[in-house]
Amino acid sequence: MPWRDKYKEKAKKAINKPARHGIDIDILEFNPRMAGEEIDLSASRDLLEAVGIDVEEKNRAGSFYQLESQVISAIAKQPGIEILSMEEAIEKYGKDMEEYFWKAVNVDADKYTAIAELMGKGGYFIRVKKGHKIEFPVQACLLMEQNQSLQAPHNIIIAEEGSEISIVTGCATMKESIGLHAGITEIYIHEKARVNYIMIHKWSKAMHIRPRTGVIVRNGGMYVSHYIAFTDLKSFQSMPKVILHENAKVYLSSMVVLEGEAMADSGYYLRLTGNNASGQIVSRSITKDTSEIITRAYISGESSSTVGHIDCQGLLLSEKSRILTIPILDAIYDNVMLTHEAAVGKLSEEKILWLMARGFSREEAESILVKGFMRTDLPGLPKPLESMINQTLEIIAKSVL
Amino acid sequence: MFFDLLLASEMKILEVRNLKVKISNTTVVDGLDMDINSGEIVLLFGPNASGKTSLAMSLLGHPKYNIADGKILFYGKDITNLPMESRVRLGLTATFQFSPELKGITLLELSKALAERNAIPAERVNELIELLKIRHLLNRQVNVDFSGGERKRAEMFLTALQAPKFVVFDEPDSGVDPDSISLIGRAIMKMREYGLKGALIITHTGFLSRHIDASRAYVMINRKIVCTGPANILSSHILSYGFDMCIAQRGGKYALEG
Repeated sequence: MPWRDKYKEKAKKAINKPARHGIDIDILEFNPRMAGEEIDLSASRDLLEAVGIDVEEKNRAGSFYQLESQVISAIAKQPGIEILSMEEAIEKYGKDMEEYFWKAVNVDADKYTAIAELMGKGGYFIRVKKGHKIEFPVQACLLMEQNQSLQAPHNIIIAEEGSEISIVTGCATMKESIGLHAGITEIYIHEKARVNYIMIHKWSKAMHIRPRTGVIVRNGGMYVSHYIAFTDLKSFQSMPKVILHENAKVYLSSMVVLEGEAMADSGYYLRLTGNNASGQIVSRSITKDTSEIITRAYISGESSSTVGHIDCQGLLLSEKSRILTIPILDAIYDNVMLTHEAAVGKLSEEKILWLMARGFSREEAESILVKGFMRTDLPGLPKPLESMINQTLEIIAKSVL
Repeated sequence: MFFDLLLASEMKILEVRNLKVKISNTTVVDGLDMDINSGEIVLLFGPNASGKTSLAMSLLGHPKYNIADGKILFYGKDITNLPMESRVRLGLTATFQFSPELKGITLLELSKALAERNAIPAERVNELIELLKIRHLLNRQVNVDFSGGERKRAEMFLTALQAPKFVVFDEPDSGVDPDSISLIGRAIMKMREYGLKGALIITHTGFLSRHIDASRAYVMINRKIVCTGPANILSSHILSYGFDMCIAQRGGKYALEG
């Protein structure tokens, strides 16, 4: 495919380029693996449910499964949606794919984007056709289980003009393994379209996670993203880049609970490039054991009447964990309104004692406060998704303490 | 144990003997004595920084307040060294001068949890909601953006759902509008209907005393009780003359003891 050569060339040049943030890892230790011979997803039902995947696919508009570097299935169940593996999409659309290929994420951004282009396999292509509003979510499930494995799928989501879709992506390791997950996700939201994107991660302790996400929201479009990770892992670094055109809106939230020796560097990079664009970045981080997290948030107001807000809160549940938050506001137009609030600390002893005075035990009081801490707004999400997220957070809150 | 408590109910609900309390190395209560009989509501007056809140928190068993000397008996049982959790389980609790904001938790959720654990019937819960006029607060996060009066009423509601035997109310009438004061007073009387056996109400102003049926009052100045007497007489004296008279009569009981 000659049209792809130039991306491969660029990628080759970036193969040793470290990411701007996060610890550097030797990507050549990892290689794509195929799925084992026996695939029985129902055996991992609990794990899949924990990351938002319904094995029975009830109330789902479509499903995509990828195990290691092998796509197992990609099926749309409703009119108005197209779900293909990336290989199928490239085969079908050929050079027309270029409009959406490495346009929201740079192929030579760092060694992880590079390796995804050079060695990555699979990924989903989800397209919602113009004007279609899809009630039930599409689910995408990416699983890993083998040692020294590289999983670097390239995902593309296109919401055509006036369409609406919700996508739940669940990623997990099915058994303890050493691996690198570097999924590329490009999301294109056209005029007045809306995408709700929920990503839930659960990894094991020797995993390196480097997702690379780019989102472009055209005039009047809306993007709502919730990232939830309750996990042990070796290292995580991600900073989705979101660009808003005129009158576009975003709500970007993350809820990260780290345990063990996990190290995470997590954030959002939001550019308000069109007049009246507005967005919020909301992050909640909880650290246990000796885990550490850096939470970044960047908003630039680059056009008239843009509004941005960062709300960044961290909760330390152990003496030896660490939370560092770095909010950045960049106003380069004179009538923008950018604000941020941040707070990091442990559970308030006065609140615990007040709850104990109301008759709760110390453990119950802590659990009430953690649950409250984890609760963020879920603006405008369809009911089933909202309850799914609340259920996930409930499970996490219970297991946090 | 239960039988002991039954017998004890004929006795004093609270006895404080020569109580000395420290925070780090600072003495905050210095040789305080107090008795409260079963069925009694008692007021505690005193200027700022006299040690009233320290006394309240020491009775509750707040870990920051170290009891250096003296004894606290609850229904005749020595609770001086009992941790807060055990005291609350026995039915003794305190409200806080500043109840905290609990983000992400609604008043409804918290009240449901309390009503369930203390087997409070739904109609009683509803009665309290109506009485305290807090229905509009139920689906809001606890204390977040509540007015002073709403905060106190919400705390009063939750405390009532604990079905306590004895409560130290720490300034339930401070920073509160007159309407809320009357609602809070009525809620305390309602709690008595539902089994509250005694209360110590810390108050700056005594406004609350118009709405409740208090029997006696203590005045605490400079970490000690300086006088005691019938609630109505003592509170009207304080409202008219301030604490000066008590200071002048320090240690004495003046003509106040009816």
